[in-house]
Formats: sequence, structure tokens, C-alpha cells
Amino acid sequence: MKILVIEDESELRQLICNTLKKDNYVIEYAADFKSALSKINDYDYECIVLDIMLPGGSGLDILSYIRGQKIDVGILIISAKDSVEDKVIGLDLGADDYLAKPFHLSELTARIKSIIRRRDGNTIMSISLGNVEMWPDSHHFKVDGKDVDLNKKEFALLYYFLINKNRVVNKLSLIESVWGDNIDQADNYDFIYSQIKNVKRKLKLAGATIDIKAVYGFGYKTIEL
Amino acid sequence: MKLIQNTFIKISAFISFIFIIWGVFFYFTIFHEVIDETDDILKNKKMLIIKQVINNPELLKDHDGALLSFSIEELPENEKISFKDKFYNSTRYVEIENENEPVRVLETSFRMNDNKNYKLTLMLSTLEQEDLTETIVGYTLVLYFLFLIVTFIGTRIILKKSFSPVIRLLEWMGSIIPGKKIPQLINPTNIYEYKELNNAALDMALRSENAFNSQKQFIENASHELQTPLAIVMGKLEMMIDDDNLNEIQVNHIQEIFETLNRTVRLNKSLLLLLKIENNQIGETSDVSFSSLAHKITEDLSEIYSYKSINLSFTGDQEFVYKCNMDLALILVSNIIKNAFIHTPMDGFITINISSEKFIVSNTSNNSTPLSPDKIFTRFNNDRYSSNSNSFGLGLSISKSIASAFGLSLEYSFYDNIHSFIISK
Repeated sequence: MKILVIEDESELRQLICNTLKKDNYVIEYAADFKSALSKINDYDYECIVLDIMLPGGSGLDILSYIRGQKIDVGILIISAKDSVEDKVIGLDLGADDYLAKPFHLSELTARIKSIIRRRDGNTIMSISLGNVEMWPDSHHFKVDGKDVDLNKKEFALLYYFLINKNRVVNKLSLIESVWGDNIDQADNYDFIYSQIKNVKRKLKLAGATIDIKAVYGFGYKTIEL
Repeated sequence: MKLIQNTFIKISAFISFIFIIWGVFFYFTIFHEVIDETDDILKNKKMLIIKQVINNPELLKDHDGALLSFSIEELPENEKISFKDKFYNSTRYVEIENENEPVRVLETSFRMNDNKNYKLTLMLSTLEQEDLTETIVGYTLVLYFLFLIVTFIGTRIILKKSFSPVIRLLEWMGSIIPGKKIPQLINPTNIYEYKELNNAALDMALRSENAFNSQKQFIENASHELQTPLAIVMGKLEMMIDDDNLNEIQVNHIQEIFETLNRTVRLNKSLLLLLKIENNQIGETSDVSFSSLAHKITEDLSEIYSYKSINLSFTGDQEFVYKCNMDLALILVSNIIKNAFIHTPMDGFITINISSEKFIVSNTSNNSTPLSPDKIFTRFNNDRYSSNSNSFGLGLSISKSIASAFGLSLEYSFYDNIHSFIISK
């Protein structure tokens, strides 16, 4: 599984590379327009993380080049230009998803994994950890081979935890991902606690070998028991 | 007032003025001329009559005529006489018509061969003179109204024709939308001033387009410059927290930094959003159902604020549909509803009333003072948010900007301890 990260800002590039390496992806990177194009021509990638503003050219031109050459690769645009037009243009040109900077690394990982899963053309592909298995597209969840019922929010939460299994997931990124971008400034996090309590209870009842551990006041981490 | 109306009114006022002066002058001149003429006739007749009477004293007796009549009477011998002609206006009784008719009278005296003095009074009917006056006034009025009509039509035709480049220019200016490409200006004219006007308008449009673009560019650049460092700090913190060796105090510090950082991120996003709306970068529009937006938003918010046990209800026919940008409409509605959820006290009520013309979000209040209507939609108005350090007081201001960018109105009202935010078409 090879991923190309095209981002000119070295600090951010390293962060993205490092976080993706945790999920055992092979990461390559390009810091400008030219080297990005030559990398795309020379190697095959599963997914490309593409910044729009690059030295030497626009990421959108790389995008249209890739689609013009019919190169089969998933593309996630990461842009600081959080403008509707860019998003529309990017998706029109054939990007798979669009993520505005600044983003949570856990959200980036979730988006990339979702792109890769969808591009495999194999929507029945599942995510598994320990004895639990999840089919995100068909909304199925099994513990030890047995179906476990989860409501929409519980499912979304658990999906986010499983996909970020090696990371501490911050509660703010959790809210943004599960409840949406418009829910900020919550002054009380009880609603997450109660949903997570339900998920934990259901996991325990079904005899799952994973658990969601709170990391002090910061967030949660999914661990294998 | 339209230019055509204005010009017409001014021209007709001017014409009226000229006509009144000219009419008065013309009337008196003609009148004077007619009297002169009458007096001349009377003088001629007088000469004739006197001549005839002197030759034929028989005629001193009766001599009435239809139009011209005269009388001769003998004057007492001792009376001092003047042989000068005396003209004056008078009336004469006409039996047939049983009324008085106006006459011009000439009184004079003459001396017969027998040295007797006679007074001759000549009368000439001036009925024609009245007719003439009427005719003059009538025709002057006809001419006046004719002039008015001609002026009215003339100003219309001439102004319409000569002002068509201005009207075309105005239409073109109206079609310019900031942020969109300037439409081509097709406005041919031979008039020097209009050519200059065209050039000036085009020049101004291009300059404002440039200013707009550079401002937009600046916003984008500022956004880029700020978002990337924010992304780096955020990522670094996320990487840091993955370290299992951190103790609780360290994690709590990181959490505090993380939350502060998140506020900065949101502030930056909010400011960029406001700038974007104010630059009219509204994006694609479609028919948006505000009630489905409200249902979607309240579903999540009810969950988040479940600890408050708020009673939420929907009323009205749920038909508020408006053509606008979906993403911005979501922000508009969600800021107002979120605001209601945040400020409703425990066990309070939120009512969302949706009709075809109005979308109203009302919530109960924990005190009986209304919010200051001048301040609630102002940026960084933090008064009411003192309880929440996570807020910048930008939410309602963003909603207000979006509403006005959409051509909707957003109003606040307070009645019976209930705050209401009303979006209306």
C-alpha cells in the first residue's frame, strides 16, 4: 500500500507521513509541482494526498493531469483554501475527497482509509481488530462472528475508533467527525460520554477483545485486550 | 422622478410662463388696435355725417341704424362747447334682443351754418370686439395646449433617443456582480460626453474588479499562511499525545493547548467565512428547504444538549423553501438554532415555527430582559456569552451576514420572556 504525500510545507508533510506510517503504509512524498509529476509518472500509488498551492504550479493541474492520463489512484485534496469553489472544482476534476486545513490527523487517516477502501472496488471490505469486524458500507458489525446492533452514532463512533486504532483520538475531532462540523462550542461533553459508555457496554456484553480507553481528559484510544 | 418627467415639467412651466406674458401682451395689443380701428371708423363717419348734415339739415332729425347709430341734439347757445372728439365705452339697449350691448361712443360738437351748436353722439356696436377677444384667448389656449402636447411628445422622443446610451450604461452597471466577470459593455454612441462616461464606467468597473480580486487573493493568502501553521501545531499535539509515557498533568496541559488552538482555528474559519460572504462569494444556489435543515440540525443538537432536557417542538406548515447556497444556509440556520440550545435554561422550551414566508426560532429565557437589538448581531459581542469562554460572539453576526447576502431579513424580538429570531423572505 503506497501513498504519495504532495505537500510543500515540510513540517506538515512530515506529520502526515509519520502518522500514516503508523498504519503500515509505505509513504513517499513530493514537495513541489515538478517532483510530484515525476513521482506520479514513475510509480504506482494507492492514494495521493494533494495540496493545492504548490511551488511551481497548482495541485488542481496535477489532479487534471492524473485524471487525463487515466491513472487509477485515489486522491484526497488537502487545502488551506477553504472555499466552496475550490472544493467544487476539485471534486469535479475527479478528486475523491476534500479536507480543509487545519485538520485532525485522525480525520485525515479516516478519509484516506475510506478512499482506499472504496477504490478497491470492494465495498464489502471490512475493518477488523481483535475479534470485532466492521463493514462500514453495509453498516454491519460483528463480534466473534455474531451480529451486534449499533445505532447510527455508535456505529460512526466505533468506525472512527477502529480506523484510528493506533492513535489517541481527541474528543473534538470525534465530535467534528461524528456530529458534524457545525457542532462546535459544546460546553458539556456528556453526550459523547454516554454514547461511548453505550458502545463500551455493547462491546463488553458481546465479549469483544477490544476496549475504548479514556486518555485522561483528552480523548480515547482503542486497545486490544 | 424620471428625467423625462422632470424635463417635461420644467419645459412646460417655462412655456406657460412665456405664454402668459405673451398672451397678455398680445391681447392688449390687439385690443388697442381694435379700439383704434373703431375710433377711426367713428371719426370717418363723423366727418361724413357732419358733412351731410351741413348740406342737408333735414337729417338733423331721425337717423338710427343697426350697427352705427347717431343722435344729434341742439346745444343751448350759452353753453361752452368743445369741438374736441371724446371717445368712451358704453352700452345700448337693444329691444329685439332685450339686452344691453356694448358700444363705443364718440361725442363731438359741430356748428351748423346757422351758428347753432349741435352735439353729435355716434355709437358703434363692439360686439365683434368681444368675439375677437374670445377668439384670441381661445386660440391662444389651443396653441398653448398644442405646444404642451408637442413638448410632451418631443421631450419623450428626444430624451429617449438621446438618453438611450445612459440607460444602456445603467443596465450594464446593474448587471455587474462583485466577484463575477464584468460583462462586455456594448454601448455605441457618437456623443462625446457619453463616450467619456462609457470609458469612465468601464475603467471604474475594471478597477473595482482588480481591487476585489486582490482582496480575495489577500484573504486566500492570509488563510493559507495561517491554516498551515495551525495544522502543524495541531498535528504535533496529536502526535505528542500518542506517547504512552505522558502523565495526567502533561495530558491535561496538552488538552488545554489543544482546545485553545481549536478556538483559534474556529475564529480564523469564522472570520474567513464572514469575509467570504461579504465579498459575495456565495457559490452555487439551489432550492433549499429550511425545515429539513432545521430537522437535521436539531437531531444532533438535541443529543448534545440532552442534559438540559429542553422541550423542542416544530409548528407551522414547514414550507419555507428559498433559493440559496446550501452550505451557507446550513450555517445560517444552525447558528440560530445552536444559539437557542445554548441559551435556553434547563427544562426550557424551543419552538421552531416554519411557514412559507417566515422561519422563527423561539426559546424561553431565564431572565426577563431582552437582548440589545443593536448589539446582538454585532461581531465579537460577548456580553451574552459571558458564561461560555468558547464563543466569540460571531455566530449571529455570521447568520446576519448570510441572511443579507441571500436577501433575507433576520430580526430579533422579545416578548413574554421569549427570545425569537425571525428569518423572513
